[in-house]
Amino acid sequence: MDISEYRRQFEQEIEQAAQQPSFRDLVERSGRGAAPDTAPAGQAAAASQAAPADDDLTAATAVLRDDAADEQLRSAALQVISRAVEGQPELIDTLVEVLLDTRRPEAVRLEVLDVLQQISFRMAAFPAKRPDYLAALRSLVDDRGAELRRRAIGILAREKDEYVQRRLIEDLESGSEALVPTEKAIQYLGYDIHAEYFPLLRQIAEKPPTPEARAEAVRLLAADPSSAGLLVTILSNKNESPDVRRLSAIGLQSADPGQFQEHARRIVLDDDEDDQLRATSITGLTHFADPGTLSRDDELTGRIEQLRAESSSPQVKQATAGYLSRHGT
Amino acid sequence: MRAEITFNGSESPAARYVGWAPVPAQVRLADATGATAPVTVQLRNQNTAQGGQVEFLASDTSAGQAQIQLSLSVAGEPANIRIGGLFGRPSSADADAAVEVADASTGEVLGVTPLMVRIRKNATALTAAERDRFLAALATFNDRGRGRYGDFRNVHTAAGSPEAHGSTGFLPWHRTFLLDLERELQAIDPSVALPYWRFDQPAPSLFSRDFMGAPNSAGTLQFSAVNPLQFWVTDATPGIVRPTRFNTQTQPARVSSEADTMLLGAQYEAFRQLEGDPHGSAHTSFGGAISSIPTAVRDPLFFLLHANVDRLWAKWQWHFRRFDVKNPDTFSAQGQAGDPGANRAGHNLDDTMWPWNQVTTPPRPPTAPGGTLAPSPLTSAPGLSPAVGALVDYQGILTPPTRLGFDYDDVPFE
Repeated sequence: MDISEYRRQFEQEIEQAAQQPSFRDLVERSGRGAAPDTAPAGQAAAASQAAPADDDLTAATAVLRDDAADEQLRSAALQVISRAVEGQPELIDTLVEVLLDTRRPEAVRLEVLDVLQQISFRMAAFPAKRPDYLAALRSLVDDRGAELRRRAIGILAREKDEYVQRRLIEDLESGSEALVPTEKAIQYLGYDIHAEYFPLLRQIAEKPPTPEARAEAVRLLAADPSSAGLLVTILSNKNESPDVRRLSAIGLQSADPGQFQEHARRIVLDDDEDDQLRATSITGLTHFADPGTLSRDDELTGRIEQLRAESSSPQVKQATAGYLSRHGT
Repeated sequence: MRAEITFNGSESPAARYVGWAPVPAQVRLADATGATAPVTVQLRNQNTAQGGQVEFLASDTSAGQAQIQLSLSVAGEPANIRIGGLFGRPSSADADAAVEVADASTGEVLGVTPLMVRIRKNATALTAAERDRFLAALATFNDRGRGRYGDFRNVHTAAGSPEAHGSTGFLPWHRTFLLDLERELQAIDPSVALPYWRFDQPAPSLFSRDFMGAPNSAGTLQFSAVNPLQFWVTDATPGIVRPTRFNTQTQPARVSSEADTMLLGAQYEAFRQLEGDPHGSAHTSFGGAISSIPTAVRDPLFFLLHANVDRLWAKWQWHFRRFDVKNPDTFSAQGQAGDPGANRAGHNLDDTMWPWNQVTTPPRPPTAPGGTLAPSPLTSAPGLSPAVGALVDYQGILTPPTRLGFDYDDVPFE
């Protein structure tokens, strides 16, 4: 490849991008009055990427407070504010104020929440603002906006926030879905799994309100060695759905690798098994089983060679190929 | 007669990996039977139709060429040259490239040395075999939450965040983090290079059950029955949660484009604003683990996302020719912590970086998981406890020994 030509093409791409409308162009088009700087479009676009000018910031803040602003303009305004935040951390307070304003449309507040999360990834001053930010999120746990509530709970759960963990447990124990659906509540607790959750999760796995809730409960029970028996029961029951059996196999691999190896072997040898479950079992054995045990297991190797030759399932064939390349003779 | 080539100062096959940046190579006659005078040989790619391709340079400052002629002494004295991958022609399998040494006068082949042009590629461009080798190495390294991946997980937390984020060190710190992981994966399978998620383009094959997973209605990832990531465990909890906020099959993430990122500016201080957008925006284009600092590394997509952030830095460096570390436009925080006007520790050119420096006294975090940087059989750079400045000239453009041993498929060595 001619690198000079490659460079020329890349420079052309950048020149084209520089012609895109800047925040100032969008403000002008929205009829909010001309921005004071009349630089050519390309230069304006380039300038808009650097630290924003005060005029831009004033305009951006005005757009943020205007529910009638269109989505493209509001997104551009939020990016202007986001870029200015490093030099003016107090802008975080402005964003939090909009986030908490229940009179504002949920879509606007969600977009603001996204920008705050984005800022949390980069800003040196953010740790100082974090307690206020988390407190704001806690006040959204009961917000009327379902999506906003869900995202706030998700962020808090990833921060291992005890308040939100307690609220989620309360809902699960009462069977309520007031905060989030049951499967999401279980999933959020999974960011900081505690031993005292396991009895409740076993209960949900055994008497699930929905298949989705059961799947999440089974997934988290893999962190609990004492739940291995339940996982074996589900895995061994051919009347269960293949999906939940597969999930149980994966969970068993984590909860009790020895039992997984035993049951995976049985599944591979069983002519009357689901192909997906068989492929998962072979994949688990390939990557994580004790190689010494496998190398002595001629019956298993023979069966896998047979499946390699005869199975009609592409995934079983692929899994057997992987197994034999690692453990075959 | 027999000729042989060594790469990167080592006779070991483990050193036979090149990127676009040329590496030192030595050619010599290992067996000069029948020769009474120096033998002129020609070096070339054995198969120009397929596999990785290399080019040859007489010295660090000369241009690459498809073939090179050398005079080899009968006594077996080595001739020094440079060999680099031919831009646009990376390998897709280990040792799928080969350099042939032929007697220039008779055409007799005196030796063939296999090697790999190992390049970090766009994840959507990987072959199924490349993808599967990467996934297998990743799953082995994590070993269901029992492996060394846990150290990486424990580094990127709220406590470690000030070392990695929010200032000038963001890009070098994450370049080191990626290099550390990649070297660990290469210790498992040397043919693996870290792929990147080009987040400003749709990547349907990446967000599939065969690769990095596809979420169910609750946002928990589903994997195909042959994907070892189905057994992924972090923090003792199986599975990965990653609900999406864009259509991963048809849309890019909600980020600025590559060209817009270049338009941030020609100075590092302006360019590093990419930490917000596209970097932060890429993280928050999802819900789940990857959207929060304390949990982001639980999702291995983290490393593909950051490989793209690093690629953007590499491309910016190439575009604006920013490799001279002493130029503030290349890196704006010269000197070290404590100097007048310096940034906090870890974000200045001469500062070493936590956790690889193993410093656990304030202002550094109280623990330093994972030890020093993983070594490489290809280079001693950037050192086991690297300083920020050692991560800048990653191709060794100005100082060849600083070459770090990785390249991106769309960022040439120039």
